[in-house]
Amino acid sequence: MVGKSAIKPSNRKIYLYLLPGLAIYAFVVLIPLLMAVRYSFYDWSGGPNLTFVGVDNFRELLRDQVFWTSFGNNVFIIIMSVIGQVGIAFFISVLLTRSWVKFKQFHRTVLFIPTVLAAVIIGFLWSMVYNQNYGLLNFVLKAVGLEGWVLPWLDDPDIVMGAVTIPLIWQFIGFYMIIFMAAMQNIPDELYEAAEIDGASSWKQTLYITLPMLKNTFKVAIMLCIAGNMKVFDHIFVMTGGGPGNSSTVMAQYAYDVSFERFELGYGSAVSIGMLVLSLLLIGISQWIGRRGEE
Amino acid sequence: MKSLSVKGVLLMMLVLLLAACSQGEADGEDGGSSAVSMMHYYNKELNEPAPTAQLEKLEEFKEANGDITIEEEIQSHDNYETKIKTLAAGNELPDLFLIKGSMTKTFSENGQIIALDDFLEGREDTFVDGTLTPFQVEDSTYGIPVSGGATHLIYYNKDLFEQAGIEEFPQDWAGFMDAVDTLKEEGITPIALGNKGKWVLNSSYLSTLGSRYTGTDWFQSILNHEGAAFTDDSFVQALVAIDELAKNEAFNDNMNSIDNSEQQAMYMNKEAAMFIEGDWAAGTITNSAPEDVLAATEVAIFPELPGAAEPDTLSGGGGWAYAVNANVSDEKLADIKKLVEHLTNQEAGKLILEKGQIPAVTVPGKEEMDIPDMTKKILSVVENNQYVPIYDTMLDPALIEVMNTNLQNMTIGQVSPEEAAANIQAEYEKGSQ
Repeated sequence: MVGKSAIKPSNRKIYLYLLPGLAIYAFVVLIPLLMAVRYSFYDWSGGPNLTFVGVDNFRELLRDQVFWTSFGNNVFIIIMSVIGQVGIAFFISVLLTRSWVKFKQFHRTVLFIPTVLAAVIIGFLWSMVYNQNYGLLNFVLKAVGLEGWVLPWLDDPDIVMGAVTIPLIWQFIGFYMIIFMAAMQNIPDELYEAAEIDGASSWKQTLYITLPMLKNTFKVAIMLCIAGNMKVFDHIFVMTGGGPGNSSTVMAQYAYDVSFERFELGYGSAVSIGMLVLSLLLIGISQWIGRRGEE
Repeated sequence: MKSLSVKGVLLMMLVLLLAACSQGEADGEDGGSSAVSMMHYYNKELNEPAPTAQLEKLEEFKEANGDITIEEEIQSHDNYETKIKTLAAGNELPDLFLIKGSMTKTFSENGQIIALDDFLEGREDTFVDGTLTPFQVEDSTYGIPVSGGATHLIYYNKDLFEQAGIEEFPQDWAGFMDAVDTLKEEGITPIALGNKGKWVLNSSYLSTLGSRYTGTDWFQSILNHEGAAFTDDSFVQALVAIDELAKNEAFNDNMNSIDNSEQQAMYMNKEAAMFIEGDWAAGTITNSAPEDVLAATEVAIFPELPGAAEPDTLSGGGGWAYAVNANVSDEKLADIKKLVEHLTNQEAGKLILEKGQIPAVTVPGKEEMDIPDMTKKILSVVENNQYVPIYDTMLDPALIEVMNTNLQNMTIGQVSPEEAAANIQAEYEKGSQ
């Protein structure tokens, strides 16, 4: 019985089961990552000529204004997404558990659809929405008499970040909604029943039962949110290409520009490594805050 | 028993995975096979003049040379550039492909393309002056260009000009700025600009303005690192001219979120009186513009600038060119030579001209040819004025990227022309270390 059942296999067997996945992971993630680390120490424009430059690339990276601006843009997107994606998703999932809401299945499906669309499609859709002359947004604004609000949404450096963040938030609400709804189903009904007997309103039930019970789910959702938004690229690439100027450049876009517009693949690798380090740092900080909250 | 089968499955998966890897490598190294691999961005459906002409020539070659197999890989234009750079980084370039002038130096220094001087033997004179220069490194030519038109042309709608009370295209810069104001008062966007791709302002505006102010010697000095600087007054003046256009609201508000095909669309919808692009736009206008717009369209170049070193030049000379992978076998090289010759000789040039674009080669007897009106108008502008280099086909890609971004930043008022010049100069100095 001990260590031999199918339910509790031996360690060796567990590793064996993991092996195929690990092999693929190593092939598509770990090895390229190590190669990027190596390239980041070279001056390399593609092709066979590599010149070793030590940590010069990283020294330059620390002084690179555009890199830090784009990091700032990533942070902006993360903050907005944590509020927008995670917050709205939680609110909607709470609503969808209420008995008075009709057509739950329908709402769930509609909210989830954007999540399965390709980022490029979302990007194109929203650049059409934002188009100054023919766009849906300006059309609606004109129709309701708000001509003064009509703006070139993707051209004004002061509002472009907000404009590109909205589609991102919109697309992934469904994703976090599914996570929250799944977690809510694991909360025992008895808690709500007991609360009802005690006379707690449904708003109080949400605040004192649902919210605390979902604490770990929140932590996971926020971590996913940070990780996902540190590498955001496609939407913005399609909508603005990082412009106007560098106003909507995010780190991944910058790594792409450096590598494939400027042809500086060595420095481009350094930018990617910088991105990785900063991402790990942010996730670490969020975890640390989460753990401190527990103590 | 059970665990045995599990191990068996695992083993099989590993073997398959490894087999897949080694398969990939084998594919990458098949230099020995006889098929010529070729990558280009020619798309029949788009109806662009030069690409369509090249496709027809390619078909012709295939029919005449049944023994040579050509494996084509076709990308869209924008993807093509990314793909070719990626393949170059991975050292997996096809046998024959197209490069831009700015790629020449990197590719040749990395030993990825070969000098094609013998491809040109005896027919060097057929190429228009200046079309080969972007593809030359130290007296060797690495690319055979296809088209060689201008990157700066002002397409303007004379009906809209008249509607605003402007009788003829302005003769000097002050007159041009007046025209911009007059058009604006009439409620017409003076110049449609789609600079999302960031290259339009550089290719179609700055290259011409820059060379007008600085003169061609300055650019040679920049290329050879002989003392000229982007912070020189003459270059800053060119930036100031663009800044002046932006400050005077000569462009549409959404210039940085639409691309060049949308700037053409604005023009064709009569929302704008002018747009500034290369000769390739003529094909779209000829094929897609409403009849009245097409009939009213005239072609001009920037008028005379005050204090400019050269009065009436325009940027142009070289677009994409064929380059050959350094790793091809000798027998394949002979086939490729035959193919490239077929695609870039005067016959091919004639076909490009017939379709409405300007080829890199001279075409004898073009006066008698039946070519679109638009192309005739462009030819007369081009023939009366001199070509100057296109910055973004000649300068280092890193420098171009910084230049493009700074130009865009300038149009939204985030940097002044002087600051933009300083930023460009800083990148230039970094590159020359």
